[in-house]
Amino acid sequence: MAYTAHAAAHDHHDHKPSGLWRWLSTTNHKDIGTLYLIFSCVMFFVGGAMAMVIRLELFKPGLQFVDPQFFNSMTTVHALAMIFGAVMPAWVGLANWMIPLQVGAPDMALPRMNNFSFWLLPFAFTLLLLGFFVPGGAPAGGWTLYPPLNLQGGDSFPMTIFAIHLMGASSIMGAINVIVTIMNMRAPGMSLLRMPLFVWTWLITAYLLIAVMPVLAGAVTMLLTDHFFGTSFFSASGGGDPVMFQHIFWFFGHPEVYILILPAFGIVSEVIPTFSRKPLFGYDAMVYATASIAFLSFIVWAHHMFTVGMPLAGELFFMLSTMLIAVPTGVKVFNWCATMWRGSLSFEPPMLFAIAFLFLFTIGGFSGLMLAVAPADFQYQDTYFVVAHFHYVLVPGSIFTIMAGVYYWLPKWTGHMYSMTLGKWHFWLSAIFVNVLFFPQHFLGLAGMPRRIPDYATQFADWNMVSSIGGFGFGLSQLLFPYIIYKCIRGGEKATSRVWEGARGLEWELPSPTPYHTWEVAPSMALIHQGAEHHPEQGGD
Amino acid sequence: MNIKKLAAAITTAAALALGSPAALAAWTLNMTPGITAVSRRIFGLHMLMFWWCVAIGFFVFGWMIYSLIVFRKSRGAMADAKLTHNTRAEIIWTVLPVLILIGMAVPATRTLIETEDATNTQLTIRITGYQWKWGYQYIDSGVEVFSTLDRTSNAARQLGSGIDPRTVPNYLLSVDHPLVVPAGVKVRVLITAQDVIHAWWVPALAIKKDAIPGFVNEAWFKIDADKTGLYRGQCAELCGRDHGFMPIVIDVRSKADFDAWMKTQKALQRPADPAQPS
Amino acid sequence: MDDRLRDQQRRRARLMAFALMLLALAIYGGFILMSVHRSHG
Repeated sequence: MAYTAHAAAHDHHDHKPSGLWRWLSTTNHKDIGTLYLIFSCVMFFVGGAMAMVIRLELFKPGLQFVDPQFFNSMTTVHALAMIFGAVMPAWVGLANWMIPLQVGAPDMALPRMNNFSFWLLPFAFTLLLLGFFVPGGAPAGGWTLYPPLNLQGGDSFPMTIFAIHLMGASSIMGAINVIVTIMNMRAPGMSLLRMPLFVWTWLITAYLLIAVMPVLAGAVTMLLTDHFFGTSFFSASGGGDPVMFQHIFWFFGHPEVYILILPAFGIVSEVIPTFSRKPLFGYDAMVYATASIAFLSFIVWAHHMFTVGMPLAGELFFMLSTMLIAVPTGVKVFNWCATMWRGSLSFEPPMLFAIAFLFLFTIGGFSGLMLAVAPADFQYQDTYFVVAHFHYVLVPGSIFTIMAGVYYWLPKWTGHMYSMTLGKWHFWLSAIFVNVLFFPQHFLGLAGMPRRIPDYATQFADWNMVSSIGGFGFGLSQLLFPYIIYKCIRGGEKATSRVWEGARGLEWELPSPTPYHTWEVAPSMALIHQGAEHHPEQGGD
Repeated sequence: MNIKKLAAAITTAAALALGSPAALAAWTLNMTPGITAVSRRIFGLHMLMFWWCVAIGFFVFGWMIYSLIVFRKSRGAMADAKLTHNTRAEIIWTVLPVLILIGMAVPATRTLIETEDATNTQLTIRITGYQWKWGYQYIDSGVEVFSTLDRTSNAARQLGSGIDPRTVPNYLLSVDHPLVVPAGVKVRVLITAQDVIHAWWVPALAIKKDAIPGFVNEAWFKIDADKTGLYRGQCAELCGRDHGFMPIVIDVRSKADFDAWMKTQKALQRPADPAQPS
Repeated sequence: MDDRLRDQQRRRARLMAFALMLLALAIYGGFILMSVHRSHG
């Protein structure tokens, strides 16, 4: 179904091969963006199905459906599929589609590498998911891959490592492509401080990716040599240190968290001004705040490890540096609020998702601030409080903004308006169920329920049942999303080139649907200045 | 009225709203203050952070909701496109959070330093995590106890056992041999593991420390003299298939009861002593 | 004129991509070397 959907997405009036070969060999940024987005959607449902298994087993106390080892595989692969399969490819897909349009470039700078970096992903995830069918089962040591536990893995262990290497290589190539496109391919007159925020946040994200994906690759390479080649990087008996793995992993892991959320900040900074009919408040501050968050992400990693027994000075440093992140994040939230202030708000689906992001990401920020406080973290660490926290920042944070982005640009891509009514249904069901799903998990964590357990004491039963009901509701309502997109690709009311009354920026100067090749002639200064009305003090010169 | 009373009032109200007093235990909303001075400090810190978040949330969500109601296009709101900067506002919302953070960081730092002060302890226990049980060794006397999930829970937790967990007392939270500790004594625990990383967590003590093979972590607690009884916790670091089934139970006894217990244990274990692995 | 501009842009982009690739490899190797050092120290 997915295939026919995207085959129909484009008219065949341009010179390109038809059928499957077109998609295998394409070097067009729009085609590759589409491939990334479809892949992401598939992985979202694969990871989502695993989440359903988790919530089903946790619906009531006692083991009803799965073996504990399989349960551990579910939590492990759910995380890997969602992080590396759903969220990251969605961002790369949106970057592929939108960055060339937004900076006035004809395509990404390195189109063949672009094709290669996408086509690595299906192989990576085939390798990862094949783990379910080999002796020992899929990886079950948590997505954090901590040794020594992960070294106990069965045949799927090397497969997982190679899958992660492929995903890493794909992300690094994607990031390099984004950086060199933004740094070199901008239309004349598109100065850095005239770029839309989505481009800015992606530029910073891409630098984070290049800095930390090799670190993850290094960490898993060492796991591999520890397992097969007799090294003992992480084994105490051989002179190594299992905690060193955690330091290296989280040196990757914390920037990774921002890789998942910074492009979301970009999308929200596009959507809120459009539907407030008012330029973004504090454009420069937004750019600097994003850069500060990215910088801080490198010096806070050990807040994931407050219980490993660090020296006092270390715990103090990581506690204080982590709390500091609240400042630039606060600046961003206040700027978004100020953008809506004295605006003229309307509530189409992209705006609804962006507003939900604003509320719910802030809740995730609050629990993040609480988690930063090391002594209190001794009680929160590895409980459902943490699970609630990171799902609040990743589901209504990253996933909702991906949906906001898709609903924002879908008419531009397809040339059709989608059903606003269905979009609103999708929003309200998602927004209500996501809270039923994750809010009770705060209570469970505070009451003492550890994470990653397949069964629990009876005092946790009530909130778990509520959470599971929320989970099933959330999972079912997501089926609306591909349905709405499919319908929109197949037809619907013609979209204008501006699409939304308040939309500003180069992509809205192009016809809807966007032609297969765009900005072969660079946009004029006048167009660029018009788009940069987002930040008039830049547009005046 | 201080915030603790307010918190208690709200919790009670919420519990009442949810139904009978019997439901109180199940629909738990919050952490418990615990049974040591340190755990109460940590609970206080948690509540302090919570109320700061509520206060900030009140302001930020209030601002958002006001905008969403007042500045609607459908109500004829016109956009003020010139409103893109306000230096004074931007300085305020950068500096004010810094001040609030300092207000949070000071008590947090004090508590953190207190938790790390493992001096002058009177009793040392070595805790070892195994897949999937805990070993407790009283260093001074050599007495050693292994603690595994109790048999009724273990039978009920098997896949498709047909036993309703609600009929099992303290399902998944009871063990065959709890860790016996004295109240009113400053106890030091040395935490390590045999195979993979585990984490020893007893919420009532506000102690959670990773048990890492090849390394020894230190923690300490001094339980209030009047808080004797059983307190329960769980392994808090994924350690394989049965990670969810290696609970921790501490049996807090008065100093006199503890000494008596220790004496019988020594008598029981002495003959086997030379054969005990160290 | 646009073709010349784009060609020039692409050349610089390729150079920069090469440099970034080297950076990524250096980080990868650097972390492993650092760990080799630590685990035997």
